[in-house]
Amino acid sequence: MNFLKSPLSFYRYLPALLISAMLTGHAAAQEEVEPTVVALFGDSITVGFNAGYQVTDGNGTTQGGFPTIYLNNLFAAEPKRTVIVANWGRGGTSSGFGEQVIKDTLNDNTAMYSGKKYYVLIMYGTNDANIEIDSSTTAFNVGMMITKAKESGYTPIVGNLTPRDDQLGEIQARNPKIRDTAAAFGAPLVDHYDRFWNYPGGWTNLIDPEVGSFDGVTRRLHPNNTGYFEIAQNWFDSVLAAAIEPDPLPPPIIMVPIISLLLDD
Amino acid sequence: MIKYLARSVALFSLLLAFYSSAVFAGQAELYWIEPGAEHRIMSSEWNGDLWSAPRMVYSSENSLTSLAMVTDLDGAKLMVWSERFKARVVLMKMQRAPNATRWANAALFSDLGNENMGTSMVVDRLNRIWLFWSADLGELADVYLVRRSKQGWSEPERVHGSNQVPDIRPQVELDQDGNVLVNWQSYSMVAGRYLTSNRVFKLENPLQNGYKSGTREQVEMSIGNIALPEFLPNNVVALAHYPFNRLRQAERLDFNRRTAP
Repeated sequence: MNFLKSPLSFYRYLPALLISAMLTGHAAAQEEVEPTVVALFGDSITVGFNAGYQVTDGNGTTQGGFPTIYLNNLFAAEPKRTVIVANWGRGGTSSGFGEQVIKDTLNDNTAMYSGKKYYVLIMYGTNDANIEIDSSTTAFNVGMMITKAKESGYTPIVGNLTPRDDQLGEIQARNPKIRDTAAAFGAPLVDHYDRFWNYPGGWTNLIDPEVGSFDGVTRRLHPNNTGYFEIAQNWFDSVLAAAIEPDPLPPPIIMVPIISLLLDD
Repeated sequence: MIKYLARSVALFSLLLAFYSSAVFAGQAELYWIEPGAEHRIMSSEWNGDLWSAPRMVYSSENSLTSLAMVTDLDGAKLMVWSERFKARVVLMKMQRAPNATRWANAALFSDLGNENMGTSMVVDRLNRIWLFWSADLGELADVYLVRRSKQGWSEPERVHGSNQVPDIRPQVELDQDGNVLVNWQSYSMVAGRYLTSNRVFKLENPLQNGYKSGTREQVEMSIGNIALPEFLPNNVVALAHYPFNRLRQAERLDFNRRTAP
């Protein structure tokens, strides 16, 4: 087939040829992207627990819980980033617990998910007052988690605590110390409290009253789905979007060899 | 004759089993902080068969934590808890006289540190109350002790050396010789985790001091001997108090909670 002898035929097939070449080049570029791994590490708020999601442990899931899902969506949106989001939240746990298990958890995460770079999003402290951990100890434990995360080859990012109506004073006492600790240990801080507190209509629009499945008591503690979206968006906007580069664009389309093939009888 | 002996042995065995395992009224009390936006301290007593209906002992608009209870050898009760007043967490107290049914009004007990938490108390054989708690005096938490004797309450003293790590959650009991044993969690930078530290305060010569024994002979009570009431919420700050125990006089109930340390 000689397209130069049949210019109309040539132009008829050109769009299809161009599209197939672009897709071939794009597919070749995608297969080569090594993922970045982001581990979520915290308590039930990290898990994404609420009235509609009664799971207590993340167990490294890459699909369960709105914190996981919303972050996945943000990374998948253009410009796309190839990221594995693994949820290691454990409901009801304290900063002391997190400090104790972070190294083992991150080692498990590394074993499960291979990547070119590893991040851990640390958000701990909302349960501490219930087991008599004072705010300075919460901050100390967060500092130890930052240190241990770095020793495990992870880049730690710290999130402060969202409001709760039964222990607001405990949250407000801990957040400044968490902020200072993150700065002292060289980890970025993502201010979830501020995002919730200044949300249009107030933070109660992001945290519904719920009857505790463990104790039957009504309180505002776990974010609703919109609240979890705000947390995910905050992680992304504050640190992750800049820290994790978008996937490389596909290589430019090389037309000359294709035209040569088309002209070849 | 043989039948008589057999019946006697059987009766004796039954009585022995009964007295060794039965739980008498008043041997156990539960105190807990009702979770939720309303902050209340609730109580219930074991009446020998059932737990009494929960009663509110104290309520506050401030968040509460860290309950400790003690009944001295005269039967007077002292309850201490942590309460947040804005940026500070102080120790508050309430007392109840022997055989009284009502508690006296709550009052401030200590504002030693910025945050005072993790209280634990015991009565020794000289009827002194030992109160341990953790307090941060501007830096990290340390464990402190005050003692109540006939002369009143002592000044707070730190129970360990100066360090740069948290020392938290003391737990105190007596040993068989009447010595005061306290253990707490202290972070070890070498081990990279919290370890249990302890200290023993030896009882002064008991023979010379003629210490009082318990009000009646009892097998040491534990919450494992009886079922918890169904009305007790899970995952709450709760304390089991044993007024007639002479060794472990209270236990924190940290059930349904994964904690470390």
